[in-house]
Amino acid sequence: MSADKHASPWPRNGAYLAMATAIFAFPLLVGNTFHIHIAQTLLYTTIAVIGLNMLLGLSGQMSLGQAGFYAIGAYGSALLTAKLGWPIAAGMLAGILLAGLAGCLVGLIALRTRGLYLAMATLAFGFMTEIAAQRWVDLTGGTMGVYGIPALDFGSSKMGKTYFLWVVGAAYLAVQIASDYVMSSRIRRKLLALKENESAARTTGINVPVWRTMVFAVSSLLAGTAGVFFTHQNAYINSDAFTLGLTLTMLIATVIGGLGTSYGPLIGTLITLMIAELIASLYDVSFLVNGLILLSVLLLFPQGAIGLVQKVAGLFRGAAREGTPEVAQSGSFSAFAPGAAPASAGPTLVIESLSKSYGGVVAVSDVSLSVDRGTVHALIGPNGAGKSTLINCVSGLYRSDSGRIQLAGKDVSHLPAHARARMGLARTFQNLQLVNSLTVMENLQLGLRSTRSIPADFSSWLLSDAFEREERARALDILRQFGMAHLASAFPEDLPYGHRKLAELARAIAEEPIVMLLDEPVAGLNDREAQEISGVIRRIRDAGTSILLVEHNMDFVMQLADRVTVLDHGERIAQGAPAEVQKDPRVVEAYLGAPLEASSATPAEAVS
Amino acid sequence: MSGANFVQLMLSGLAMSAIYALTATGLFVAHLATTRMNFGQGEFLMFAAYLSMALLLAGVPVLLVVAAVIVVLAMMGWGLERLAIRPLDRLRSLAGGQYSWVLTTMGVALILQNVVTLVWGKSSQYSPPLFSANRQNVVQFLGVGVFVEELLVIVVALVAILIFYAFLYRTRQGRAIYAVAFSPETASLLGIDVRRTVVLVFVMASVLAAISGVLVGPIVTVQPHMGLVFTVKAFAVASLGGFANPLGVLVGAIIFGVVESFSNYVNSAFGDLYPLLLVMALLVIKPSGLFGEAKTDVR
Amino acid sequence: MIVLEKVSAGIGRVQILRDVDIRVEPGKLVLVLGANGAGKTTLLRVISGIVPPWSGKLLFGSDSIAGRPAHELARLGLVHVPQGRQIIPTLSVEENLVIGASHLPGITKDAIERRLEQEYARFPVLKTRRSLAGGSLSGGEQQMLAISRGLMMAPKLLMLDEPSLGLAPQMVQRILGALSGLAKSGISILLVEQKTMALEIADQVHILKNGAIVHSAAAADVRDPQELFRHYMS
Repeated sequence: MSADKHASPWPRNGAYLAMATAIFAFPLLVGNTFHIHIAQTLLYTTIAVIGLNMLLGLSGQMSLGQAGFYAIGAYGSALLTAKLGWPIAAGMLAGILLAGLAGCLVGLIALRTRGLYLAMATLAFGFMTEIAAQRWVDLTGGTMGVYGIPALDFGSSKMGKTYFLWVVGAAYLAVQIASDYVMSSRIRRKLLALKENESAARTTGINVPVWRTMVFAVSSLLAGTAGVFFTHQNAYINSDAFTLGLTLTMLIATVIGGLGTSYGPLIGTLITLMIAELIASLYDVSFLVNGLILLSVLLLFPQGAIGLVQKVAGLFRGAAREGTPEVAQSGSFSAFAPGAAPASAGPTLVIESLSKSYGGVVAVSDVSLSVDRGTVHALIGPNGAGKSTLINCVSGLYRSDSGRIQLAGKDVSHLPAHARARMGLARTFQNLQLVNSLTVMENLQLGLRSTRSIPADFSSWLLSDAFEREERARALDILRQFGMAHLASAFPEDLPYGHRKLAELARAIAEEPIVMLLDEPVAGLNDREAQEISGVIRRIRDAGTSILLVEHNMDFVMQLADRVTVLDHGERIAQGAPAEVQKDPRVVEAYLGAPLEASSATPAEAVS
Repeated sequence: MSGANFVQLMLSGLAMSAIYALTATGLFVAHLATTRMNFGQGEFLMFAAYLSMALLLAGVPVLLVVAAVIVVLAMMGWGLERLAIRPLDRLRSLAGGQYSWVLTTMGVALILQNVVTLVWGKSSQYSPPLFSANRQNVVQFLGVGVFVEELLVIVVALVAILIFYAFLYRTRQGRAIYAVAFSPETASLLGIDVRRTVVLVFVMASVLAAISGVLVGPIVTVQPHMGLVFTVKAFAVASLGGFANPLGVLVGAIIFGVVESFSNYVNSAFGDLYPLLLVMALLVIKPSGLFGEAKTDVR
Repeated sequence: MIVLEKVSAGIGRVQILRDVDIRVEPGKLVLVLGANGAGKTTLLRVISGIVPPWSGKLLFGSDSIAGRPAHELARLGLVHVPQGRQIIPTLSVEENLVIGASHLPGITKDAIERRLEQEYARFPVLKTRRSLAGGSLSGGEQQMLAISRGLMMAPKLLMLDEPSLGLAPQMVQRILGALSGLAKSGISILLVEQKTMALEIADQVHILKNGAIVHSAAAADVRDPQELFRHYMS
């Protein structure tokens, strides 16, 4: 995952060409129809597994109902062509769309709940389709099956199997290429962000529910595609094919190949098909074997086959990855260009009598403040004063109970976090919200606003050796200003804490925000690192960005802030220039408690 | 529908409610303490049903059968935690992401289902009655003839659930579960062995599956595929209750079992699917279930 | 009672405590003051076994306790009342009180009853609330409950993490009064605070800044709390 990963698309495209050639030549060289049949099955099953791989590996959602979508695709196309006499192509398309539609419906559950509920809802969905296929005999023929389905053989009984393999092969290649694009583009970064860290995803402008549902629908569409091919491969289907066992086989293929890897689905499907052939004679113990495989892969080789290969290969490559990445040669770009802030003077962030309480406890009460363009406004106060709540309300992670928030003159009080982020509100978090499975560079790219449409982005990825070069140059430029260019390809967890803080700040800068919210930017840093951050924040401010920060390090606040607001028990107790606030007796009292004289009542009476 | 029919349907529904309540309570208690659960809960029930059937057919006295099944399943719960749950924490397993445990517990379920098929065969079987000489024995209840087995299944399940509640609310181990659920760290500061408590909840979940398995034998046909059905329905029941408290699970089970009984009567082909569809629709409208707090976030 | 020598610790790769030396003698109350993020909570978490120390010595009596699991240490009498009270909201007040004590090895029902009466005498308000859910108490009541819950475990060392947090001054005085009495009765107390109100009941005070102890003094020698403010704010 070095910075020049996308240097040339041609080795990769060469691999596609090689696969295309192999798929083309295979049926011509191998006369055995059984082997051709297996190759067909491998390719269309891989399509479904690629969908599951994206769902589970990239977006972190579990589906136990893939067989259901597969069945809907299969029956959809089978019934439309066999009973209603639709042309094969129309039936297939309709079957695929039906599966996608079912995915959208089940995905509604993903929209509202997540994780465990989704896993169970999909299990229930798969179970219900299985039962419907068995019992809705009028429609599906149950275990007797659907007869009279046209085979996809282009009218040639001799070459039909070959043609079918070519069609399936083309479909597989298209899906593989699309999946590779997803896995190396901003889509992967967004999906990993929402899998790992929803807050980070939302505050970098990702519409989490929409993405989550979309991935779910795509994975069901791909499962349906496999089902459609299955139908027209065999020209006969019955309910025995669509059991939980099928879902589990696909899951096993996904994890055995290596979750979230490009060729994991192909390798995983190949391995499971081989196992299936090997144990075909041992049909009685197939569940046993599958269960054991599932357990041993998850417990012993959680990185899967691709992961193992990479690990072994990594032993030889070893040090190569540690090399310094290229330094992009773009000179003039200024890393600290704020977004399109209004030219007019006046505050860019206005908070008007904002209140927020949870379960009857008031966390923030009627707080107002405004941050002028190009200034640093610090928010301080003892523990539990409501600072973090306020920041979370402003960034949109929490919804405030009352009050108004204006960003560059526009009321954003009712906008969700991702919309506020897109309008130029960036933030960092107290406890660091970097995406750990992305490199530092990729974390920065997550913050960059992309201007290219998906098709343009795709064709650039497919054909150009300059894919995302500009973005990477910009990200690297920002990193260089932080003195971190050499760490671009490192993963956040491998960095010292101070560098991680800087990386998160760099990601926020990449968003070219009008307003930055910094939650404890120097917590946990030593004095030298704090100085470094302080310098960076000054430069951001001087470039015209407004900053609202929460911090406990008083040296830092007093040096840096243009204005300070002090909160205690959710209320604003002081506001003004740092020096004034520091002297305010209410502030000293908030930090130290009541003056000693007043508290000298005899504590002894309180003891029983 | 006649009045007699109504009472019979109600009672059949409640008998299934009782089974669902026991099974779902097992899911609930494991989820409470660990946010994980056994996706093979239904297979554990199925295995218990087979074990109980085999022992009954071998002429072992009923009480002894119950004790033996509970002991075996308790050991299986312990093994499940050690084999399929705990190692994942150490591995921080990447393969299934944060849901690796779903796949490992399902893997165990697959193995169990296969073992049962190998030992007892694939076909449906009838377990001997627990409480009377004949499965079809009928007594007069509210002026209507009802199956003795169904009636007593309800009674015994109710007693088992009450014992479980008493354990959860009245013993120090039960309260320790709530402490761990609240915060494992706080629990350990109170001298509670968190790891042992986690083992305990999986053992308890298995014991509840054991009791359900013994009880379910005489009122349904026993077959190797029944596990999935019970896992799915138990989860639906627990979701209906919102995974919030055991009482929610009980109410969810009563609603689910009774609705299922009547929808089966109305539509014998697909009646058992309607309650599931209803629960899924409910999850879209009210993601936290009937009794969960709005903020409940099951992950 | 408890001795820390050059203890360093952190979470993940982030170092939080740097070479901390602290000693609490039986019956003494030691106060550790520090701003947010200074490492106060981590200090207590290291002693109570939740966070393993990276290096340094941790002695309880004469035994090294580094690396022992938290629940064992709690049963030995090393009781940590965590920040934010951590009352188990679904259990009643009395159940909260009993839960820690009930896990002590060899404790009898009588002993629990006796201690319960003792705590009800200490904080009578808890008795009136005994069957209410713990979550329904006010902040001050919850703090009393948290302290009593710790005392039910018959601590040899009682550690408290900002018990004054979010409480009205009057309530803080009651809590501090209770702690002072406990120290006099022979329990060692390690109190970490942000605010200086506890100075008057402390025997010894340490200032923690950025994970290191930057200033130590006998509490009686501290005249002006403003001076302390300088120590940890600047």
